[in-house]
Amino acid sequence: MANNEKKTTTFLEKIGQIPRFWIYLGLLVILMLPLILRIKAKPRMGMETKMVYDFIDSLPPGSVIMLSFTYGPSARPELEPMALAIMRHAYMRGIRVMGMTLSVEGTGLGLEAMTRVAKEFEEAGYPLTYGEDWVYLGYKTGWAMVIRGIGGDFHETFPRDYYGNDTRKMALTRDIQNYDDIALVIDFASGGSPGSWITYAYQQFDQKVAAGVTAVMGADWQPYIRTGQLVGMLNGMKAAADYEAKTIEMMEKRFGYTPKPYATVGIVSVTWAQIYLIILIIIGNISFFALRRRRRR
Amino acid sequence: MFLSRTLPMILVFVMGIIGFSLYFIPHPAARQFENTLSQWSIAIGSFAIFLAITSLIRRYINNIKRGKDVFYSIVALVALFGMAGLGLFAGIDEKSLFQKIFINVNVPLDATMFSLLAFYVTSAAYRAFRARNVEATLLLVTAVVVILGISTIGDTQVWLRKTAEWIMNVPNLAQKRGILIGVGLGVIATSVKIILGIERNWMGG
Repeated sequence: MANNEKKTTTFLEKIGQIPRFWIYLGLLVILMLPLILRIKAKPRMGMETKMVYDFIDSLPPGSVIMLSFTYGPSARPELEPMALAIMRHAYMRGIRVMGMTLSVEGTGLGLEAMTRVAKEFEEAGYPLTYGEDWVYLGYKTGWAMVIRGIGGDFHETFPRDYYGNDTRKMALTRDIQNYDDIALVIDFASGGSPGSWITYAYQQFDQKVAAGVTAVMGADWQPYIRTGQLVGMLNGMKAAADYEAKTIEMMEKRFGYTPKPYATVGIVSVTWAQIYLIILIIIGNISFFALRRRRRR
Repeated sequence: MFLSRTLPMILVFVMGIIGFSLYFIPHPAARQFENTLSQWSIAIGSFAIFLAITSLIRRYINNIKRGKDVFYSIVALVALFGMAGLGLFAGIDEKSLFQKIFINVNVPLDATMFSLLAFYVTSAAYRAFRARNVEATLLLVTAVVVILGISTIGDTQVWLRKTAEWIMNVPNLAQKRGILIGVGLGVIATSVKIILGIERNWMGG
């Protein structure tokens, strides 16, 4: 009896000391499997995501929305699928899209995202025209001052687009004077930039603002949804998968074309990794309590 | 003394009061002036990039002269001038070499560095996340419920989703608002101190 108890205790202690190598290997396998096997989730749209979806869906065709790609490569897997999904939704509704960034790293990523969706629509047989359906304005330094500047005079803040074209002459941008001509700003952010959009664009110019943020930042921006300062929020990979699944379905129905999924595959990896993490925490705690009980004896 | 301390303090005081007042004056003339100030700020902000590049170049040239991290310093300088040269002379559109290097080199490197965190977090959580006392147990249970509730598991388990949403929308929201109000008051107090010249750390102590 005493021997058995000793053996059990030893095992419980051991499971609390799994070498780092095996933990890392387990995580690697769990993360890679869904990506390699292309296992897709069929998520249900959450409330905050649906608020953004409904707002865009309610805009009349011809409206202009502005996307701010204020993130770097580290947040790209979470934020880029959101941006792609929103652009698909907007173009299918006949809504025009302007892109810009307040982050140097976001410059190339914004360009990549916008050209990718334009290419998707071309492949789907519904080509978009640069300067009419979409415009990329690129990076502008100054953060809050840029946001305030757009409210004052859009053309003074962005006299030229990313390619050097005059914004006063392009079909999409020539009639845009300030926020009065922009139906919605969506800030895809890996930092505190939604705060600046709320403080300067919403508070000062009554501009409708939404945010797409990484999951770790979601809780920070939730208070602003309840107060109406944000029309909605896309929170992490889950929201990206929700929106992506919806827009892929829309494109399949309308064009018979399936865009490449990113978040709907990524969310499976994330969910599996979360379950793996929880199992490890439980194992660690079982070992901890077993050890504590033995020490008390 | 006048140029290094008094003049900057006068400028901060005057521009601080003007900037603050303009926020509350809806007159078109005030709006126009505010817009002009915004454009000035954007132009001034661009000088920061010049300052940063100059400082970076000096730092790495000094490293090379001293024989410290010579290889890495050369790589950094070549990358800086190489990318700037490519951008300036070979274009920056989506098919350019500049964009291709950014997407295929810079992006994977940065993403790799960040993704290592997932491994460290997993290992750290396994070793350190223990239900040692009531507070730690509460934190542990809350974390598990929120993680599962807001993930795809919450799509099928409605009770889990509802519980996670309640945690996020009630206790989390309450403490966030408390923190935000505290931060807001702190920002106002610090701003007033800077404008009035009581807080001078921004001048270098």
